[in-house]
Amino acid sequence: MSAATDLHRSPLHDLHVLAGGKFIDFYGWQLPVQYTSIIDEHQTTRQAAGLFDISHMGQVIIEGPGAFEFIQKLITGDLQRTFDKGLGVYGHMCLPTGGIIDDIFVYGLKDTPATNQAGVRQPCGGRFFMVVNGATHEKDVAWLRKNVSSGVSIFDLEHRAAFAIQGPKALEIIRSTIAGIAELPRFAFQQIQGGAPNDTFWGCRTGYTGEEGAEFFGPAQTIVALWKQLLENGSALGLKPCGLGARDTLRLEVGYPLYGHELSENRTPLEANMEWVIKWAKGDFIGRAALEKQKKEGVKEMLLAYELTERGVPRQGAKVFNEGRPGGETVSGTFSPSLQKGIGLAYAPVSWNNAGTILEVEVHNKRVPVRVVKLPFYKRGS
Amino acid sequence: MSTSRRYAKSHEWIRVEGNIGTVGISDHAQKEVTDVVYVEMPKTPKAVKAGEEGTTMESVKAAFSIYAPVSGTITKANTALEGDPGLINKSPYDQGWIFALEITDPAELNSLMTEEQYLAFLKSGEAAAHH
Repeated sequence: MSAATDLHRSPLHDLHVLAGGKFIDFYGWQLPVQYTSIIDEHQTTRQAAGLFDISHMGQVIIEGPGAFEFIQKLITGDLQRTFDKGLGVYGHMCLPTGGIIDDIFVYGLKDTPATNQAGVRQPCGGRFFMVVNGATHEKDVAWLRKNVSSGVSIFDLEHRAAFAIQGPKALEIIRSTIAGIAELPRFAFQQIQGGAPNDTFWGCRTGYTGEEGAEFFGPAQTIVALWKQLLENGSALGLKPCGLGARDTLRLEVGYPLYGHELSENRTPLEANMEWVIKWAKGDFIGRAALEKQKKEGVKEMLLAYELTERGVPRQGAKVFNEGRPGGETVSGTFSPSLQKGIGLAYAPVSWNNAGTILEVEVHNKRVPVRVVKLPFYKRGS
Repeated sequence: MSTSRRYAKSHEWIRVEGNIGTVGISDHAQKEVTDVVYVEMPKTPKAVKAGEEGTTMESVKAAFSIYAPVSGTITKANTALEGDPGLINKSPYDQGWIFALEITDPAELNSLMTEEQYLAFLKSGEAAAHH
């Protein structure tokens, strides 16, 4: 175990300590796993609103002529969407093998006209804000720098913080605190000018819980002040800080992948059952040829979702069996507080992935029946 | 405040009345395991030696074994935990008891910690190794 002093601490750390947070080491960051109880915080987010520190996520600015083409070449998503619709673009960064380096969000601001005088869309430079996972942050930046084209600058931002506010009351609380964000459509974003000249931060209508809400990214002081303000304005509506424990049960209920579990360099977006992240019409990107080949030949293993039909909680690593035959392995498993049952995601032979099929999962050295289901496990308002 | 509870290094407590010991997990342990969602009801009667698994429980976080602090025969399980496993978190020393056993050798109780000793054990840092 590494000493606490070796771990990164969020700029929100002192507030978490005051709020009674219980800390864990999360990929080199000391972050709260819970304040009161994982289930309480889960229900708070489903029924009112929760605040989640996500300062461990990497924040990178990519800008300059050719920045658009550079990013377009690195991700499976179509960056044009950020200009056409003003939406954040989700995508995977892949190796040439199609294996996933990370899953990321990119938000773009145009610095040059998108169309030339003849009305033809021009490749433009612009300024892009990329949010990457904490666990893969260094690796991602190294990959960006390795592939960078001339004229493109990459700034791995420091002294930053970030949080998400999520839940049915989230937009109301945001509206009472900061203008312009709650009104945006889902996945849209805005760059906001703070008090000081270099104090710009981002408000994005994104999240990781399946609830309405937003994520804010910016300089540490600005974000800490905004966290406090939201908590003050939102506590009457039930807003509470929530830890990584609830973040995990919430994301798993809606079937969102977590890097290092569902996604890794040994898995492709097709195997992760996420073909929708590959925008085939966009043109070339790193990994495309391998993914095309895999699509043509068909994947052998694919991510499937299952729920337990009796008591028990599946855990990461739990083996999955089909009529006694081994072949599947659980990559995420938990107790779903909303459904009050065990749920899991597993890689297994693609032929096993039919909703309704009964498989078996090893829980506590015992095989228990599970039913294959379609994602999400839980839908908002159900 | 002194109590008649005795504690094992694996964070179970036992309270003895006559030759019957009632077993649960400590307040410290319930905080560590987080929200308990299932408790396996041990089949009774079940003979266990000190340090053997009496039953298991699942929290949101992980699965945990509940060890018998002393040797005996488990004769009763707290069936209220089937409907409300969170009693272990809400009331670890009272409504959240897990099983009761007939103690074979009362002398084994002497090797367990008093509450005072247990609290000192928690502070020593050695406790973390026994979760």
